[in-house]
Amino acid sequence: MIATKQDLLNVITSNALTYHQKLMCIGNTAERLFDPRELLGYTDEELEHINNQMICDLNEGYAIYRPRYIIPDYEVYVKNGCKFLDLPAPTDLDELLDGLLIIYSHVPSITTYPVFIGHLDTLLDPFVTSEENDYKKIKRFLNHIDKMIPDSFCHANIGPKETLAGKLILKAIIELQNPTPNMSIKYDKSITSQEFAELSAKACLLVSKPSFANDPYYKKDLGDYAIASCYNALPNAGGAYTLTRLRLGTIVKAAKNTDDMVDNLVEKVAKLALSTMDKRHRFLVEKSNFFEVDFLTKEGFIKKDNFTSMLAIVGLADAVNYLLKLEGINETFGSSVRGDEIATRILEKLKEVNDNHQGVYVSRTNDRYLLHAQVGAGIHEEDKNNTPAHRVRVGEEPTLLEHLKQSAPFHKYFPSGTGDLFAFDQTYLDHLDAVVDIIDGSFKLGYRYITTYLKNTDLIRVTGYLVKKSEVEKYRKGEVVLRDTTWYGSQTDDNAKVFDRVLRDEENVKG
Amino acid sequence: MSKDNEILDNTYISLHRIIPFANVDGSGNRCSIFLQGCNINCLYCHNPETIPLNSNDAQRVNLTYLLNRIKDSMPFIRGITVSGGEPTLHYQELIPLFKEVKKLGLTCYLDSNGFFNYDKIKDLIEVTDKFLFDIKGLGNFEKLCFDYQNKDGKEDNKQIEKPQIMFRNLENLKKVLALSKVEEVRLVHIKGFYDPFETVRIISETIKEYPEVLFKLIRVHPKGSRDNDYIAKMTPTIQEHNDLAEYFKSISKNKIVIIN
Repeated sequence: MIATKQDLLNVITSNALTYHQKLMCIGNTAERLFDPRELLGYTDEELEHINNQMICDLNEGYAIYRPRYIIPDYEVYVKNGCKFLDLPAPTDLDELLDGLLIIYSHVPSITTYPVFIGHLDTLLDPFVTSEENDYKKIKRFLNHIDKMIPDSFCHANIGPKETLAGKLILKAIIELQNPTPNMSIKYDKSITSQEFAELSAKACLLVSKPSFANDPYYKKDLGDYAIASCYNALPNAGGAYTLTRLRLGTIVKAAKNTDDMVDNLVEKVAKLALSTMDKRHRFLVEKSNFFEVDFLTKEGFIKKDNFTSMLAIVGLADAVNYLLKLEGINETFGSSVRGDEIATRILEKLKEVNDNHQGVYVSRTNDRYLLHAQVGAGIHEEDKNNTPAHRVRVGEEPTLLEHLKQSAPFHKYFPSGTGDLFAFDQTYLDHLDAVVDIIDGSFKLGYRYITTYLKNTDLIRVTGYLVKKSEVEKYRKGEVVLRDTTWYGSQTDDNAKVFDRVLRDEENVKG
Repeated sequence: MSKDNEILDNTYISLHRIIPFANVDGSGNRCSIFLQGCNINCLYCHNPETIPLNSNDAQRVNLTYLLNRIKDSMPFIRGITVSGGEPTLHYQELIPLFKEVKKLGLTCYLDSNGFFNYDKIKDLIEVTDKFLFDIKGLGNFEKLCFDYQNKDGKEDNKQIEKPQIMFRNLENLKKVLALSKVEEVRLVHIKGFYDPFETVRIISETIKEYPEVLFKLIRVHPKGSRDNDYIAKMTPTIQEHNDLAEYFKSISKNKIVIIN
């Protein structure tokens, strides 16, 4: 959306934002003071579909001056140090942790905070010498990240191999109970030990991380990759220029029937979104000088050729529910065979449109953008009509077994990430092998990414990132809070009631 | 139709219910199948509706139906656990079922009280991967499990005789242990029927050669039993329960899980 000077003033005079949050919002609002038709060459039709909320650019800004998500290869620092920051290559764990913290504060992103902080276990493990002393250092390092980067889109990776560093990281996140960093384990049953998998499952139940990423599947699709932000799978030493969403739950309201939605609307709006992405990339690569001036490129942490971009969906469930109603079928997405058929048609069409579009500056992914199932946001009233990704609406979920089977076939459409999450009861803590069995089963059925958590914890995964429920309560009362993700969490719960996601206890799994 | 399919289609069994995912009945995530009918009448039974061999609660289903339900839970489970009631009562029907389930790459567990006739169910034991062995008691526990007339599970002072089968559980445990087919031994701790310390001592003695066998010590819960007040009176305190657990730990190297 194009911003106004009044928007700027509203940020400046807000009584609910910290200084840094205001600074960030002022920057973002300023980027949107430009009319994208003048700056980027958007057509009236493109802007119209942003204004009618069918396309959502997540308020990324039109004067785009850095990629949305950056995935630095931190091994470059381990090998060469960093000239720009005058850091020699680290020789011990202290130097490494210090150096990483320094670099993190210089990694840009859409939120101004780094969304990827490395394959932490493999980075740290060669420097671990004493379990006891090094545990203290690692825990302090992780706590430092939580307070320095008040944004739980900041994401660390571990796995697939079990390492001592990996185990110490898991132990520390359980003790710290911090929202940041978000974390994924790249899980490969043929490489990851059962013990490491169960320890990860335990942490996931207790502190809602790490989530499990299907490592062989992502490797096959993307090659050398990392999981960043919520659960975005992106090329390593690269990243994504932009993420543009199609609000399927909004688009559907213009549909006369299912055929009209699939054959006309999805195709038309997707093409408009894709062409806005082309224009943004051109400005970023050709005009902003990001890749010319940033030390990350100069020193090889990232390469221009490793960037791609994400065309995302939200509101598949809402679109399908709307069309089921039009077809006179009294069922809802998640428990409807016809609903799954409609969903598949929508996604097949989207895939076809995207496959046929020659992307701009994305040679790393065969000149194509990657589809992504986005976790939702609360930017506009319309987000209430758009359930995250291809998820079932909260309150309409089938039993756990049916839910896993229903959702699995949709994962294949989203090489740059999707995921579902399931709340479990306390008894699973004593049966971590059962949790790992469920994860193994989901991967066998084609899941890319899965998260579990315990219903009664304070630290809860909203849709793709973590918030403390207690902090959301504070924010709702109008108090200033540290983390930007707390605002997003609050908005998403208001829209989607994610705090009430169904609990997977014995009652629910009954046949 | 093949002969195997014919057997699966034509063999019927009394099913109480199925839980597609269960995390408490043996290792990993399993499909739990509860069959109708029991050979004993535990006063604290939490599912007394599963005791009668014939009941309106139960469904007569063929093995094909069961097999399809098990397949529904794949690939999320590593096996099935058949419980009851007492599952070994259905040994004839379970043999072809287990053979088919193993073809799917799943393991087959039995949750049994161990009062079965070993020779009679030998073929079932052969296709069973592991037992979850519920030792109801040792010694003078006839009143707890064998008062068949007491259908309401109420408190009474009537004396009953010791039936022959009540001595089978320990012997059967030893036999299946020797086959390495025991995953856990379970004891529900209740006062006033058997000597808890002596029972725990004998269990620990019996399983000590098998360090992989888990001992699960469960404090009885009145809630869900037929005579709440009676069972409440016989329920050990948490302290008494922990004392018994500590005793086990002091004499055994086997792993113990204590459920209060």
